[in-house]
Amino acid sequence: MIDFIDYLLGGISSGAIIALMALALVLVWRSTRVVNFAQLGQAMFTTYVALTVRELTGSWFLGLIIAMAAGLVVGVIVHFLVIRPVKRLDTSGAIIATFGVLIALEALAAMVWGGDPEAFPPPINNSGYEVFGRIWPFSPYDLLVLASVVVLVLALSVVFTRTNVGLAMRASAFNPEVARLSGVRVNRMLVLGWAIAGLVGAVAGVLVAPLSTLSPTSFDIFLVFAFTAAVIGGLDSLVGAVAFGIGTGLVIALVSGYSDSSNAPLVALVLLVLNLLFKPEGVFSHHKARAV
Amino acid sequence: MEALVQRFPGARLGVNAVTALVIWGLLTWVNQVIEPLMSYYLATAAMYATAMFGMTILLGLSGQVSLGNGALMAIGGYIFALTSMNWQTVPILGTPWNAVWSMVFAGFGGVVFGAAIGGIAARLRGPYLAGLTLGIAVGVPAIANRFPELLGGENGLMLQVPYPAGGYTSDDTSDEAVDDGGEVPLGEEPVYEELPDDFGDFEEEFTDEFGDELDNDSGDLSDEDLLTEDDLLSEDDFLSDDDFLTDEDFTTEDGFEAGIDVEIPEEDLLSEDDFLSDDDFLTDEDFTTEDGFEADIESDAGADLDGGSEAGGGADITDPAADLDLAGVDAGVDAGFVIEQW
Repeated sequence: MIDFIDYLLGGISSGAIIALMALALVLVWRSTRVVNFAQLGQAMFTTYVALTVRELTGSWFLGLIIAMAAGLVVGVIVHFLVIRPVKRLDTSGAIIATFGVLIALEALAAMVWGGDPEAFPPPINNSGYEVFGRIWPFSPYDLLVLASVVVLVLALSVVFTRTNVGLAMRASAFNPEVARLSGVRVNRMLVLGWAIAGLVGAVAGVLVAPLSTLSPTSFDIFLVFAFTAAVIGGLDSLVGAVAFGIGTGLVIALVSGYSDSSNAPLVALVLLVLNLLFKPEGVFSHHKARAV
Repeated sequence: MEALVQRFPGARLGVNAVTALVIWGLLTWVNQVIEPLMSYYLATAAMYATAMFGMTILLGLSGQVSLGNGALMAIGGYIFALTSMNWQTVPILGTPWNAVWSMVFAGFGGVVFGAAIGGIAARLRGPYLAGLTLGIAVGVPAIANRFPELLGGENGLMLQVPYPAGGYTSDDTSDEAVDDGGEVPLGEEPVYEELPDDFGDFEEEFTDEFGDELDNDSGDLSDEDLLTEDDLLSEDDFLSDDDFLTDEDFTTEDGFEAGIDVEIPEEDLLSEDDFLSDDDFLTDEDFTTEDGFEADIESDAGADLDGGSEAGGGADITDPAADLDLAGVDAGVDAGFVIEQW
């Protein structure tokens, strides 16, 4: 029982980060109907930017801010440079294009920063709290991660439900034609979606880097986790992305704890297959247009 | 060409077949005249081209985006390696194994796994299919890592190149083959020469380390050489209670019992007088030089000396403050005193 609690506590922060990544995927999907397989590549790139800023200035927070700005910029660049020209062709072209962006970003990062794994130490203490005379696998850094995720999700939900921009974004995601007729500049909303997704991904990257190491390909596995969470959540639903992101993190933590951490990708695959077989429209989605 | 195809519907197939044959012949010829390294590059290119055929069928003809074709390549490779290393003859047919059979079985395995994945994938399209196949691409290496004994884990399985004639039979992992490659293919135990059943004749005579001949013939042993009941240890041979030392054994010759609680006579204990008293300490007056000048005490330790002796006047020597002062005086004498001269 105490093991169970330990594994759950250990999975919360990684679950929160997976939730952020899934959120980024959902934001792009809502705005352009493209699953951005380069999302974690962008996050990797901006985390390298954060690492460089941190090494130059010694400030983790400044690194995070610069990385968020870089995430915005990279998201917009990818949208204008790759997605917009390719999207006119067909959907599968856009998917393959995002995969190409992922490979290009990984190669670029390897050229700029080298391919060796870099340490990205946590800004604050990452050893567990001691309560009731026992050290629990929940550290101040985990608390920082949770707080950051909660703040970001709350800010996003305020933007989407309480502001005109958010309304316009939801409208152009729901029905671009009608939104355009209603005076919404749909293309701008698409760009904004990519930009916000890049920012969210950048935060996720900076937060997740201390939990593993930073290398051009070290985030690849999180792409599978995030995609799993986003798809189970419905791919349209921000709430679903967050809920199943945390859920996926907890399940992976439990399986890793009770068996072996190398089982994690298999767990994600099994979850994905089960979901696609039995509830392909996702748990939180209202659409049913994804099966052939 | 187009006119020809329109006139004879089967012509395109024929043209393609001829083209393929010509290319295959050219490649075979090129492969024999170029260096081995270039031949390796050529083989790699041909391999990727073959993988592209699969992608073309899936993406080009059916419009399904698969990011997991590498996983199917891995499955084919593992089946090739496992069948090569474990099977010496073709099942059912019984003919000797060779590389072509490995490829046939690898292709068959690819069909089975591809159909299994396709069963799920056929219900999906676009990003869902792409994500699922990506998950498979990540999942297959994870499976390989889960079964390191069977699939070789991170390092994978190792096959010898070129493919040994007659397959990876146990003959090919003889000492020669092992020494040559330096490695035993994974999944196979190195085969050692079996010992003959009649390994030498034990009747021959051995010599011990001193050169004496040892007769190994068991017939030389008589009944007397066997252990009898007398040779066994009896109860008497074990230690009894009487054999252990008792307290009495520790008494000294003088009749004193050895013990720990020795009484020390009162005189031997240190008395109060043995400790230093206030009078034993140096006073300010003792620091007056012969000329009548008082020595200037510049160190803090000196000040402590004054304060300490005032505060602790009459106190016993064990007072911590007094101890401190004592140390201070020492330090002061060593380093702190400056006797001004003019």
